[in-house]
Amino acid sequence: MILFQDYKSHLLRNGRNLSEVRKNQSDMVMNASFTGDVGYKKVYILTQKNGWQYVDAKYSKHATPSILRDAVDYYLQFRPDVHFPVGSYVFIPDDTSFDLDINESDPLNGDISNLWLIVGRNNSKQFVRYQVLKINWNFKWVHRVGDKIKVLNCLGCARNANSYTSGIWNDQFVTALDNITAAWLPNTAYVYGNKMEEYGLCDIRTITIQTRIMISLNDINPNCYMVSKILDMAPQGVLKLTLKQDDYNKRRDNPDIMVCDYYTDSGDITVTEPEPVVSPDKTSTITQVSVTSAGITPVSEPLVVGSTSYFMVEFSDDGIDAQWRISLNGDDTNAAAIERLMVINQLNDTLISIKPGKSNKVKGRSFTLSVSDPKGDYYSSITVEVAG
Amino acid sequence: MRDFSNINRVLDDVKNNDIIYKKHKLAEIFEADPDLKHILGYIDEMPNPYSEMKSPTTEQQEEKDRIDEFNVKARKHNEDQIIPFLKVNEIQTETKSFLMYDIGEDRASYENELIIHQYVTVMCFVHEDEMETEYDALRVDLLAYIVKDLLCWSNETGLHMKLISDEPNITDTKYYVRTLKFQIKAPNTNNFRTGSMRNSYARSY
Repeated sequence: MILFQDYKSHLLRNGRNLSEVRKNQSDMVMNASFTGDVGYKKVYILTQKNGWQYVDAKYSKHATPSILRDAVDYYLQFRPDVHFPVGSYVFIPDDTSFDLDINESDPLNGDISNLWLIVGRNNSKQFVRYQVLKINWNFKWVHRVGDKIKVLNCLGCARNANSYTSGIWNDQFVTALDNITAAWLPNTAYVYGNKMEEYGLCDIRTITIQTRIMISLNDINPNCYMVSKILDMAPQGVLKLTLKQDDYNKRRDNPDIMVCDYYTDSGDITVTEPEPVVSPDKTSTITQVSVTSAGITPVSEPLVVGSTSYFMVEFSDDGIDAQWRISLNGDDTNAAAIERLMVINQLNDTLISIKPGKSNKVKGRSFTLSVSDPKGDYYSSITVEVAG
Repeated sequence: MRDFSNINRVLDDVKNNDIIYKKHKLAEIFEADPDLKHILGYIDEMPNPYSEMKSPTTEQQEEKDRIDEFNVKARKHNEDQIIPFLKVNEIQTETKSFLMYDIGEDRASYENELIIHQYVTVMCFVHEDEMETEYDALRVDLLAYIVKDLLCWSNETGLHMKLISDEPNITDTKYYVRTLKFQIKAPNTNNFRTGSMRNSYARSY
């Protein structure tokens, strides 16, 4: 027997009113014909709940790219009622292949040429489309805790910013750089929360005003910038930075790995040091040498304040990235200040110079000069004395 | 009458002009001080152990070229850090420090026209990111200390140089500066060599 309730639910099956019925029917048509669209792609998206996952999406053009303006965004539309937060990373196959050529377990550390960032959401009544912008730069910065630093990074979009100046500023005595650029980064902490570290993402909350970032393809004379504006509310999920051009600092910046403020003022590396690993297979030998135009000869003599001494290392294997350290022997409350006076200058892969600063604090002191690879392997050390 | 057809000035004889001569002396004093260069951030050039090698291997040749390149860059970095006028001419793209100096003159008093005061201005010009040193003292203060140590009460340029002011100041850009002023008493002459109080081309009486 058909009850009135059954008849009523039959009538309401497709919606409580005509509007709902039409929306539901349109969603059904969209869903059924989704893979028929030429813009249909299987994209790989990073979600807070489920990590990396493949989802269906339609990719379409929004505005025509032009050399007259900044890179334009594209539309990305998911199946009806499927949503992801603004600030999510998404891999979208390009025109060369239907499939993504990525390492699925750790895609952000591989080829990122097809990586995009969701930067906006079009809140239309139906068929919500997201705006995506292509990732084009790995932003790296240092986070300083005490006297140690951590190098953090975040994949994001280097954007244009019009400064309408010649790019230089004159005062009475000097002409300095005056240019700006911009960057959009995903707000990793907001979008991925406590899953951030699990997904290999760094906390962008450590970017502050005055954080210095290298954005340049030139590793000889790189362009360095300093964060001068941070906007994290428009929209929520994307961090918009304004960056003012800053001077390249030979003493502090490391163009080899594109990181500003990597060294301290005295040229020391302050990245968290690995524990030395002593292994019979992986050895190294440090020798004090005299370097003149006549050649390199081994010597053994105390260091003298204000003059340069040279040290060389030979590793049991080739191609080792030598990490040098110098530490004061014996207890001293001023050890850090004294070690700072022993300025190390890495001249090539195997040769360094040490120039003790002209200070009575280092005279007659004994130091341990050690070397290893970045992991702590190939560790060896010698004692060096400064003449009294 | 003046004889303009017979002007036998020697332009490269620095002793003709007191200011040019004294600036040359100051350049010598500054260039000879290793500590001043060290605090200015000079990069030490490296001796090239492969330079005299007769038949180097490919690897040795590469290493030789690499050291030469390092030294060329060091020289490029080091040039124009001690400047004999009060302006950095190049556009600065790197954090650097400079020592700039010049000499001006002013009369010593209304009554005395034969003696003038010369003012040596030395600007210790340091990029704000270069302020820290390993010596627990600011770079700009260390530079000022070295300059005072070199010049104050020195008679290298003739009569004693006396410090009369040391002014810390800021610029519009990212530099901090200490301006040191030294005073020297000097004869008011256009010709340092003769020291005479007359014009070389005027009729003599």
